[in-house]
Amino acid sequence: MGRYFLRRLLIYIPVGLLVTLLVFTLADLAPGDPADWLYSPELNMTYEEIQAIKESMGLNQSPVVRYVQWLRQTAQGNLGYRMKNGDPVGPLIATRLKRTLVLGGVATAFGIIVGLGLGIYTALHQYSWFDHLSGVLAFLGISMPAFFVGVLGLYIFGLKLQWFPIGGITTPGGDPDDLRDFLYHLILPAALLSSNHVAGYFRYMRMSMLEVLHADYLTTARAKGMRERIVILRHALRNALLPVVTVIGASIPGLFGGAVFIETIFSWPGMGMLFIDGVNARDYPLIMGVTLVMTSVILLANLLTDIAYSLVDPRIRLETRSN
Amino acid sequence: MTAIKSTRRKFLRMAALAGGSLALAACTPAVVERTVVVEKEVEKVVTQVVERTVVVEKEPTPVEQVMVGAFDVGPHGCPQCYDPLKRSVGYWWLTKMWAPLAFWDETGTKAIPELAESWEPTSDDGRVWRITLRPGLKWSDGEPLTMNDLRYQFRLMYNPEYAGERAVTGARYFVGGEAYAKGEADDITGIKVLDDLTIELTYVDPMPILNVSDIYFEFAEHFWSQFTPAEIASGQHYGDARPCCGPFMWSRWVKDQYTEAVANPYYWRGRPKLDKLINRYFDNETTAVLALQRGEIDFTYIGRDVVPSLKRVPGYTVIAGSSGVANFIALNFREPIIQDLRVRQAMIYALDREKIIETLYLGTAQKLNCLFSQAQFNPSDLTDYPYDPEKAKALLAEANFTQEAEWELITYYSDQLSTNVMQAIQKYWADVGIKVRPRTVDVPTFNSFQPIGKDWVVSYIGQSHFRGARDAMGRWANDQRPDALGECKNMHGCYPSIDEVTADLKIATSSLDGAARLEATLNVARTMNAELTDIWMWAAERYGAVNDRVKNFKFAPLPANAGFYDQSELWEIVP
Repeated sequence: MGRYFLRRLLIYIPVGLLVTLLVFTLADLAPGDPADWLYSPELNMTYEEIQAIKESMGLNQSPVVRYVQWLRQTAQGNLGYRMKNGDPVGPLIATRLKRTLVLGGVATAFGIIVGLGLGIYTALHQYSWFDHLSGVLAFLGISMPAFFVGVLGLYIFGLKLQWFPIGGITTPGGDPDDLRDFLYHLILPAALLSSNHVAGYFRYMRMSMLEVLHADYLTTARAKGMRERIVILRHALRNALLPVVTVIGASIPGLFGGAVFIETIFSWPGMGMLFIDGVNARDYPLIMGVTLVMTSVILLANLLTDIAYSLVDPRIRLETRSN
Repeated sequence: MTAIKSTRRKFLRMAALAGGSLALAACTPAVVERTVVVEKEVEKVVTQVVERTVVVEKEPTPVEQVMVGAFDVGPHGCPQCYDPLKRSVGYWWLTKMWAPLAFWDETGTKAIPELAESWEPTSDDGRVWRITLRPGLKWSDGEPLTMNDLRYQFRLMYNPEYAGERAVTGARYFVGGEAYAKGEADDITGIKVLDDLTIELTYVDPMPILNVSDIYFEFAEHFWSQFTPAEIASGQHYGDARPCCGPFMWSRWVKDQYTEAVANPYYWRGRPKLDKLINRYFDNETTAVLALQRGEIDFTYIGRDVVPSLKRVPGYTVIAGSSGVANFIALNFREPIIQDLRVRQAMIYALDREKIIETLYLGTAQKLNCLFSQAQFNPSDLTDYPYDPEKAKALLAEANFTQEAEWELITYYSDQLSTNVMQAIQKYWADVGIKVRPRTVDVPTFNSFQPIGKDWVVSYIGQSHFRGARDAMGRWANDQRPDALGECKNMHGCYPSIDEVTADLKIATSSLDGAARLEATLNVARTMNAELTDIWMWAAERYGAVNDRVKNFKFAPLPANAGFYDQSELWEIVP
């Protein structure tokens, strides 16, 4: 296991480098640069001023030089500074990542609890009115785009019912470290974000459970005189969970990327908003920093998923080629 | 005695119950006590003889005056732009804390003295200007504000350690500036402090008009001199509690959320009525409008799309103001067919501009026939170009107009109103046989190819014009873009009369003779109108919405969100 882990990690280094090189090249090929973002087309800025801005940002250097500089800096543990406002990229990503993980984590946890619960219940009560209702709601949850759900939620729960604040993570003028205030701002975006998770997990769980419920080994278990509750919880559920766990596992790296639409609508300063801001402003150090973090997270998640499979399913063994 | 049996299941149930209760309790919204008013206090006075009750009426405790606004939402807002090197727009909010020498008025045409008492040229060639401060000005920490602060600011801005390559482009206007910016001199000889209240600026070229509204007092020498220019340039100190000189002073910056400023007791017009002014950051206009309607904020910029619905909501006032931006369809004369005047005339005759203004802008835009909307720059002999599709067709036929392929009508405006405008233009032109396809790109993409005349024929754009001819230099004068394609170095390429327009623009921006400047500007307007260097459309209004509980509020959507005298020291919350 140890050797396998080490081997995979070593493979990830060139993969990570390749991804950063690819993203840097794409960002550089995209039209416009940070200086082009800085000035409004409606203003009268002279050519010399624009060129001086480009030069002061180092944009007149060749892309190769800029990439190597970024790489060297990154190897020293410094992800650089935002071209837009000079903020250090590393600490900025750390701050934004925390907020995104809280938002996405709460939404996913809620999605898992409610989605799986609904999936199990409706599978056990197939074709009941509740099953049909849940199906319709799940269909809506999956079909409605996040920006629509976000604006609708803000309108109903923020403006009309006034249960929750209109965006932000803290009340202006209040104590920015107030946990209760933070939670108050968290509930609505997290709940709306989870609507998609609930719908998705519900459908997977219901389908998986229905498949298992008709398996022969459950009939055998019942024939052995086991109580129905034990049959469902110990035999059906555990087997039905396996594919669902895979789906949940695959969604974990997405948590780090942030929920772009919900974060934007709720002015929730997380990774999604940060990345969009970086792309809009052609902020190369930020784009590269976020890419590096995301790549690392996804590669690590893949590795952990592989390891988790071997622990959960005894049929899978992780072996190096020499073994 | 019966033992209470504790099972794992019971324990888990209890734990889940307790956890759920805690989570619910934690999620209860914090009770925000915004106002505590003690109206009466009852005091009991007991004597030996008789017990009596004395009711003491107390003065109501003043309610803290807090206004929250989204001052940086909308075009040209620049949230959290506290680094002068990283901003070109978004000045309105900054003027709440750092006052300029003069404000613009609400129309953006007249300077209103703020920190400066006067400014005047002291040489016949218009190269030397003397600016005098009001006496007794102070920074928010009580230290005197003098012209030494302005000199320090100039030296910092043009210091290569601070501004890098940008130092030279800013400093070269002053005598001795370029040498200083290149590190060849210790001081800028063209910037002299005569005494605490007076500074003398000597420019390399004649300066017929000095825009003192562009000079802000942002750097107090006694505070910033503790850092090296390189340390300041790192941007790590813009969040510090630094001295201010506007009506409000720096209090707190919760990054990505809001900036809080409090009343500046040393502001020269007197302490503002508001105790706190908060600028809240929104990433989109929709959320800001919802927050306004909810009462979480008192002001935001609003787009034209939401004006009708918000006007119906009681308790809010929609304020309209001239954008100071002319909208037009820029033409690229590198496309041969565009060089035919009949084609350009057909393009403008084919558009029912009045109908678009009436329907899409609800009559709030001003039709233009040249770049300028100001009456003084519009000579009476300009052609009006009324909607005439038959005339447009005839002109196109006369010019043997053919299009090899559909042109893209490019813009950087991404709002719904502009999308509708683009579609209307597409339809009107299609009716006479001009085929275009609207395409919206983001600002960096637009700036990467449009100003150099590459890969476009027509583009729907805006140009700030409230400073008259000065605003026209960049786009219409020749040799303004050395990287532009073709012989003529500007956005359009070689449009007719480009040399005459360039010469007129130079006179209009540098002549010391006011009458000559005006005549040159009128000539520019005439050429733009007669030659149709562009398809002139309109100058639209832009909007802000304010909660009626805010009194004495003023809003003017000037280009670049420029600072104007908004009398913020008089803003007041009246419940």
